[in-house]
Amino acid sequence: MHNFSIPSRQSAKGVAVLLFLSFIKFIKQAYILVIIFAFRFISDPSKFISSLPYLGLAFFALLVYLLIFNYLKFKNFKFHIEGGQFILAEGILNKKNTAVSFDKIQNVNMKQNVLHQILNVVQLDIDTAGDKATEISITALEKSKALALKKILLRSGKATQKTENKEQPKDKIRISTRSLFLTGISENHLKSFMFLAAACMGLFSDVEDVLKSMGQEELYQTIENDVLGFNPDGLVLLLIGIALVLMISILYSISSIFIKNYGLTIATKKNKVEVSKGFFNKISYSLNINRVQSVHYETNYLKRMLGLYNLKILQAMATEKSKKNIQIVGIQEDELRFVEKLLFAINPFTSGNKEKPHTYYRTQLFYRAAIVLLLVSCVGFIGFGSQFLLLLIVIIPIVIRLLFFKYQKSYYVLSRDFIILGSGSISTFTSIVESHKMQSVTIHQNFFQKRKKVADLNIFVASTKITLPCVEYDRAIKMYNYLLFHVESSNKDWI
Amino acid sequence: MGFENQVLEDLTIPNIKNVPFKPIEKKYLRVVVGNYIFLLLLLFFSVGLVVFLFHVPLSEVLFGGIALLLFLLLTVSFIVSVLSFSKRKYALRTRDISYKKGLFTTTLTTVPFVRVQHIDVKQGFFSRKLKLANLEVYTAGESGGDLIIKGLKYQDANSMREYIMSKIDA
Repeated sequence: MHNFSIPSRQSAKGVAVLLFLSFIKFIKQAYILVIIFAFRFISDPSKFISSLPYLGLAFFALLVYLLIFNYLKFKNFKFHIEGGQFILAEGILNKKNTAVSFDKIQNVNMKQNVLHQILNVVQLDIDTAGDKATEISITALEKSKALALKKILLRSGKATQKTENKEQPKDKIRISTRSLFLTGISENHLKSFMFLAAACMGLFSDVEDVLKSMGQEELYQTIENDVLGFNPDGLVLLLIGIALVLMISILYSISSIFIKNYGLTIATKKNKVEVSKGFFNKISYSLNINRVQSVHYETNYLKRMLGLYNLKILQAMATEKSKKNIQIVGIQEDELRFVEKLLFAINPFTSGNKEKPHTYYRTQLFYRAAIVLLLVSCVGFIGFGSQFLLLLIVIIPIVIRLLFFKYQKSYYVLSRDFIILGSGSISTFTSIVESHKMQSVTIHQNFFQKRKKVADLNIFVASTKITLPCVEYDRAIKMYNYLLFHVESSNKDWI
Repeated sequence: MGFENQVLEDLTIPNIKNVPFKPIEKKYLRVVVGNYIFLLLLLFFSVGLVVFLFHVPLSEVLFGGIALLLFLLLTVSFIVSVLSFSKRKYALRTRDISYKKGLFTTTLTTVPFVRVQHIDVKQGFFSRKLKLANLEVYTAGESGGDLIIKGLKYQDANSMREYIMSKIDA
């Protein structure tokens, strides 16, 4: 149906998508310009309107430039398949040729933003196990062509196409809208709060610039005095502002989780897991079970009460971007067990006993926290005076409580097939790695650990590093020997 | 599948503690000293340049402080690496390569040959003069898990590389 042996271009509709994407990119970079124009319009409409023709001309020129640029980009983007390799030629002036052999391809993702959906085309991203430079993205392909290409790219030597056609998705998990909503509420809002607060601060200084450029400095002064000065009205205003930002950040969490993960489904097909999600931007992600390097999940106090977890499945050298793609939020405990079974064939926790780090780990955590607190209070004392030290009355009990939590939540399991690590203080993290996927191992011991006869055992896999903290030294050596023995004696490959 | 602790206790598993580790070449100490002197000269030269060109007096607190701090950092790390020099040791087994280092803080790393991605033999300026080389063994794991042995004889480093490569291909 589709002949990939001769070089072909993207869908002709691709020009529209390319144009749209680069236009969005431009707007994103130049948002401050838009705000300035808006202020101009408000402050002096007649003057603004008189300058409108020039503005329109500039806009038109930009559009023409983008159109020509993207048309050339489209014209010069050709791909084909030759001898088990995907070959891509691109570049308008600087030509670039990329060849990726099939067995290097880790996964093929399909994405659709709103425009893609309207035009009925998809974006195809090809992830390789190699370095970051060989990542390929085809912006717009007809859906049937994309599916055919995906099938060819992911076809390994063993799998025959016919059986794959018949194979229907056997099992499917769909994360309900309710779970997504609850996940949004129970998220740690500190992060989005910080982000939003920083954005507000940034906007505030932008407003300052804009007001100053309009000669409205007095207005800015009154705002600054009211909000930042410590008169009672200002304080109330500040508190209201913080409450507002907090509320917005909760709403933001809920809506962003909802938009990113709407219709989140996990389906299995032979030895592949297919994850698809997205409200405006639809993403479908298929990963090879054998290539999974580590599995991580996270819950917090609220989420545990609701029975919800966030799950991350990492592959070798996954880029930051694709790392995010295999996040599955709002998964329930029984569904989690199901995914575990899918990936590992058994429940990893039944494979061995939980062990706790030596109690020296707690002491070490305390010492480290004490040093950090000392440094912070020194800097704070120099910067803000003795008032700052009052803050310590609040901070110290919280830190101590968190350290106790951290020790409580810390455990590890090392069995024949699995390495499991539990950690976290506010949230609870669990990491699971198959033992034979270990790349290398180190034992690390500092001066104090040596005296207590404990050591940190670091296990490196292709996606992350697992540190078992303060293991008794003799036990650590045994684990070290055993892990090496296991990797070297088994003929299981890591990828 | 129960927890098979007895496997871990099994004496047939090779123990890393029983492996004889070889120290790196003594000559490499000269490279350590050479590097220290070079960095020291670089520091003095750049401080002198700033004083001469921009007329920043060395007595200025921030500038003088940073210069002093850099000098102290360099010197302390030099002293520590001299003191811990005899602790830098490596071992080659039939299926893996190990390296340990450190006096106050010790690290022991082992990379199984089946997980090696590529191996480099590198030489710096001083190393080349002394016919020494670094053996760098890389895996697909995070960078902290890679193994770098500095101060081997150039020939030894090359033959170790050949040996590991032959093991990988086998």
